[in-house]
Amino acid sequence: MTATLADDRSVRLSAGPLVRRPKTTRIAGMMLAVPATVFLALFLLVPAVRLVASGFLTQDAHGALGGPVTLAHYVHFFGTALYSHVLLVTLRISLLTAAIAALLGYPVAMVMVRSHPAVTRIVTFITIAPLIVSVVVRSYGWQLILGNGPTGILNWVLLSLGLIQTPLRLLYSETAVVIGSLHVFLPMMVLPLASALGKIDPHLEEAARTLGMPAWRVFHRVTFPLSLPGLAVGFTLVFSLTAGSFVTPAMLGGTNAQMLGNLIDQQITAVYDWPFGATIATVLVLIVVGVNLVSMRLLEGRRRMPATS
Amino acid sequence: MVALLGPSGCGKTTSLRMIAGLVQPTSGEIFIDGRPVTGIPVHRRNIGMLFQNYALFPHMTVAENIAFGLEARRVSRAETIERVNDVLQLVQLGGFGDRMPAQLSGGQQQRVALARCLVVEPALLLLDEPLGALDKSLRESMQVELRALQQRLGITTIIVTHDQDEALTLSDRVAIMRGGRLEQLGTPTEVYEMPASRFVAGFIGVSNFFRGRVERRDAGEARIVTATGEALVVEGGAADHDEVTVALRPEAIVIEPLSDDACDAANSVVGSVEQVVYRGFVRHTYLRMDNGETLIAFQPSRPGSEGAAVIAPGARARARWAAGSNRIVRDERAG
Repeated sequence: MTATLADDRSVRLSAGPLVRRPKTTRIAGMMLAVPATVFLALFLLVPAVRLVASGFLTQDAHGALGGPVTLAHYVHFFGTALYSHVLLVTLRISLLTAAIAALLGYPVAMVMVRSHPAVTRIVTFITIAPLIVSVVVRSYGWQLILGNGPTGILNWVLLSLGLIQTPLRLLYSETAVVIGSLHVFLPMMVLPLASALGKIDPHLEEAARTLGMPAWRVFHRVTFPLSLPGLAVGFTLVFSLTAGSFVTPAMLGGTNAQMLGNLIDQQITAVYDWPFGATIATVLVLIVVGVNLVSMRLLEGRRRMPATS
Repeated sequence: MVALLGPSGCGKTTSLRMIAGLVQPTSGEIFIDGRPVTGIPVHRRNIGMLFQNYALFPHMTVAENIAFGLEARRVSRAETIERVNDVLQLVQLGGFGDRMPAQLSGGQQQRVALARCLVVEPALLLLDEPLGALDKSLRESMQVELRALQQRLGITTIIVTHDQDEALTLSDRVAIMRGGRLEQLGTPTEVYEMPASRFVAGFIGVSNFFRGRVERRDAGEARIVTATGEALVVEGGAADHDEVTVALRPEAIVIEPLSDDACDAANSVVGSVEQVVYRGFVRHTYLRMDNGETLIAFQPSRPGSEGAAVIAPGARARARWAAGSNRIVRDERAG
């Protein structure tokens, strides 16, 4: 009985600097992280290092990688108009998707947070539901809807209603990829936004309104700034996932809206130029990391600005 | 300054939120300065509302928080700076303008929240349990400060509280609410000394209650006899019905050792002392009356004369009080 009491106390006070858990407990605690760490080291870190290294190696006639170390692949990538264009398209599609996801996501997240619990549950389910269906299936669906001929569902509807005279050319375009990506990644925006909005004390908005601000200005001055951490997470997620996507641009973008992912696929599986594929992959990852750092910095900076002004 | 006082869930906060416009009343009208405001949205009512948790904007400095209402009213930058500085002086937080709310203590945050309300010169100041989150000593000093400030500025103020001391200390008039209805509206003295109902008498302070029949009505007084035979004389005596409830404040009762004389006098009961609780300046005596009910009496302790007046638990004693202390109250339970 006394032993149990003592144990309880040591656990409760373990955060304090004066009380330490027994050494064996601490080691046992660290051991718990070992399997995952080993797994990640073996199957993520090592291949990643090899991938980056491949981009600086030369491939001989038999396809084996070796010396000399070279920057030729990078020069080739940035020197060729086609590749720069694909890079630009990738950035444009990803930024646009993330931005539109934010615009669409805010109202949904607001409803999710502010409504009756039953409504919240339904909206949450509807938001998450697309994740249950495979990306391939969803992209096929969009192919049917956006089909360029008069038989594409959207074109057929618009033509029947007399709203357009000639079929729209939506499929195999950047627009189609943005639409498809939005459909897939919107939950990644809504969920962090809802979480951030849910943490805002409703009294803050009430206080702002009693102080004389109409509702839309309250959103601008109070709700939006306080939800920025959620927006930062959502934006990062949607941007990164879109930039790295492969299936959606392959099925909805065709050759008009190729993205870096498709380029990598071509280089590895069709051209068998592994060093160049590795180069593109490295560029892709660096860009994603770079954009994320910039967006985080902007959002964080905005949030901290009042403290320094 | 009016206090809305009542137990939790009695509708006082809801009333305040209706005045603010944060919730719509299902029926009835709300007037501010004689102007109906029921249909006017919150942001055009020109009110200041102080929330229990202060609701300071965590992403803005103290100065930006205070300037918020001026920003909403599109006041010029120069005037904003001047008014913010003035009000910071007023709440004794000069020089704190650049701090973030999280860097302030509870009392300081409270003052910022108050300054944020005051700077817009509201027609009406609404305080929702403003001192509930502060510890006792800070609460008492803030009560005094708040009262002084409100009187100096002369802003009509409505304060919601469940703390009767706070209501009595701060306000000119107290509205006691129960179950969404107003029980009594009066000055602190009125609601304490002349409670209108059994609920008010029991909610503000402590009361003893007697139920009885009016036996005789004379000019200026009435004689009431309870079911178990105790006789009470009530001044004023204007009881409409025969069954009445009489409230009696414990501090009006004198406890004395049993003596032979006047054993059947009105406004006097005999019983055995059950418990005596020493509470510093006052002594609570619980007297078990012969009819089985307990009577509470508060008697001032007089340091120096210790012992002589104290009647030990178990002893028989007499409680008596002046007729003027009896107060007939409305009693919902009596039907």
